[in-house]
Amino acid sequence: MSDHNIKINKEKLDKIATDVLRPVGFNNAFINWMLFLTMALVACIYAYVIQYNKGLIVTGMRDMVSWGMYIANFVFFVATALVGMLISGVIGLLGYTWIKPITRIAEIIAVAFAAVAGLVIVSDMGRPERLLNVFLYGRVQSPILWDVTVVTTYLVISTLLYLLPLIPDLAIARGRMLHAPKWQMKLYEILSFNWTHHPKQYKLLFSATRLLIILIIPTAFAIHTVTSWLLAVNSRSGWDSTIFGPYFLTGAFVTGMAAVIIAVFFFRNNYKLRQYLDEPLFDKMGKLLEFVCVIYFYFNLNEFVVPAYKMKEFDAIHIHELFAGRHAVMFWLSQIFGLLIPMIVLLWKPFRKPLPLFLIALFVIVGAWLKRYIIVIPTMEHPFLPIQFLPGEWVIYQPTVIEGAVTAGSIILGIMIISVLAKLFPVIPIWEMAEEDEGTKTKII
Amino acid sequence: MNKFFLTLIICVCAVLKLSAQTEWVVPAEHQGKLSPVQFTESMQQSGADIFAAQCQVCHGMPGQGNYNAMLVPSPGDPAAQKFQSNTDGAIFYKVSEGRATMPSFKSALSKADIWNVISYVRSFNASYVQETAEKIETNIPEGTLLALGLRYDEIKKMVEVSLTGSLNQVTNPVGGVGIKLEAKRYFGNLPLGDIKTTNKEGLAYFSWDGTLPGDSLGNVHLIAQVEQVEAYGEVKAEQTLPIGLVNDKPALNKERAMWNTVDKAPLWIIFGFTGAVATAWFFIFYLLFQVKRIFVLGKEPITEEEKII
Ligand code: HEC
Repeated sequence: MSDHNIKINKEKLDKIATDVLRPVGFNNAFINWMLFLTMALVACIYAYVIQYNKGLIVTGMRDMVSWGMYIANFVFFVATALVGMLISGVIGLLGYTWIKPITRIAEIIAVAFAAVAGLVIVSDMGRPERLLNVFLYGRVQSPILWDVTVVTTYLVISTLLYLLPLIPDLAIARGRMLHAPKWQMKLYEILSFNWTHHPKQYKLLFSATRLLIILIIPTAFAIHTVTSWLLAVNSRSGWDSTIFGPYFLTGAFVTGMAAVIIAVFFFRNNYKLRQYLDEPLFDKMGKLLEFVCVIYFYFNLNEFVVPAYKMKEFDAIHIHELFAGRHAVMFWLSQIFGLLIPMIVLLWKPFRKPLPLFLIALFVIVGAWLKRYIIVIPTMEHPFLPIQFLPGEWVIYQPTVIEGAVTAGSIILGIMIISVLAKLFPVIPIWEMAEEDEGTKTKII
Repeated sequence: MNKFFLTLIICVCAVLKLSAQTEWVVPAEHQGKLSPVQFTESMQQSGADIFAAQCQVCHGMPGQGNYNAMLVPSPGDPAAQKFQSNTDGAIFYKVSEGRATMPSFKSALSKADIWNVISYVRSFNASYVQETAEKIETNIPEGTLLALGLRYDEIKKMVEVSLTGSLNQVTNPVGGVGIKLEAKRYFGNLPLGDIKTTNKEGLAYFSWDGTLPGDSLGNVHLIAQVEQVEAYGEVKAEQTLPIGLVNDKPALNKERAMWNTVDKAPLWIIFGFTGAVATAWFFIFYLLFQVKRIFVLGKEPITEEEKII
């Protein structure tokens, strides 16, 4: 692959660059949007300040359920972040070129969600100022240490995978965005690393990106497998499962695909990029979503039907709670609307058109969030050893307003990071799209 | 017909099981047992400590109704009518013997301790009036101070317990008194052999084969007591003797293990973890180095036929 020759079509490049660079820049609409988000975030930060001062007592977590909405939300964020690996890594390495226009969007989501995932974990700590102790005094035997390590590593690799293919685009943009503010041009200059479109530079970039794409696959597998192990290394009903790793991983693909579809739909309309983010692309994304939904469904079948068939004493309590007990509404909502119905309707082409697919993705992502809640909380409510002297209201977990606000804050922060990155840099890889088709189909791959 | 009998048997069993769970019958001879002494404030106090440490996990705080409701049969609140309607003797018996989830405290608590707990539990019952046992006549003169001694007889290979009584500064051996010997274990005391009666020299012998596991030095903590507390009062001797089996099992945190500290983590996990992290970060730094090369290449001129755009 390093011996191929890249040729970029000048006319095509001009057109794409004009289209893609048009929405770049902090216009008034963007500033208003950010002001709105900032105000909402400040309210959520206020909630966190209350938690920081008073401690975790302001949450619904108590002795019995000590992992609540925060951990569920953390799992959700990590899951969504995996999409960067799915698109660029798995689908890209398989040689599919239709992903070209959405690779960068997927990578933006990966970076934003991985970054916020780390913060979500910190929000679950009663004494966040002791965070460093996890590294200083951590035990290599503890999945908690593996988790913080691998989240950090994944964030770095994702950021590199976002920034490296951006280099030629920033060089292209420097010559074209004449009305951009000075600081933005300065930033482009720094981040384009002296890019002169030298063929040797392209060669280096190709090999570097290829290495990253290979590297991101095991790292992404590790990040979500370790997240699942945080639960699965316990012998508690509902977590004590040997398929938790792949179960989480496939679930992550579903969540991530939904997030990408939502983002792509948004950029298609707001950035007027219909020509690049076109209907055939949505059809492809719809098929990919269908594919990962089917795999995830298969793992769900294993995860619930096998214990439900055996009904071992403690599993039975857990399964009853999910199927017909206190968590039944949430469980069936997430399974039916977040997985089953999308999986069925996506089989028909009309549902893979942009608007229907966008709506389906919304259902899937909400269902995915609820699913994480279902995975974390009900198990906590049924410890093997009886815990004594607990007031009744400690036994059942009920998230508080503060928890809700802090969780909402994490989602707002994620959207803010995506918004800024999508306005600061082009969202579609210009140079890759402008490549001459002949012979040199996939540059990176 | 077979079916009919089967149903009948199942019904009978069910009824038996049900009644077995609802009623805890205390043998008549234990019902009337009474404390040898009047309950005092200090007995209640030490009873409260024992209750908090040994009983509260299941029975909750008396009067609060916060006993562990998950247990079947229910332990119940000690301040409640059902519990308090037991005679002192019945409570003593139930605590000593235990049933189902209710543990037997026979060997974990001394008789005096059990009476202390009863005195504490009774303090939650306003209508309770205590009766004490009549003084039991013994062949020892009033005012005699009893004392126990404990040692290991190397030649006889036996534990020797000696009982003496002193009155008016004269000490004499006391015979004909039942002695029990116990070893201290993690939960309660382990009775060693049957109760032995002291001989004319005031000595009681317990055979010892040295197979009882001790600590890493073979030390065993022995407790000798006069059996009939009601008659003689509490007389006790404790002694740690190096006559047990040396327990040379390594401590659980001695070897490398999953549950140990970092420096004693299993090697495979140390190498696995650091190896994976090092590999990933090696490539990350290699990539950063590549970016630097891209930067340097920017200064090289490009020939016309090499031009990409
Ligand atoms: C492991 C749990 C547990 C502990 C510890 C425990 N109990 Fe109980 N207790 C029970 C249960 C269960 C019952 C009911 C047993 C039955 O009815 O078969 C019970 C019954 C009793 C009863 C009979 C109550 C009645 O209504 O007749 C007495 C008396 C009693 N416990 C005293 C004590 C005392 C004193 C202690 C502490 C020294 C203690 N228990 C420690 C579980 C416990």
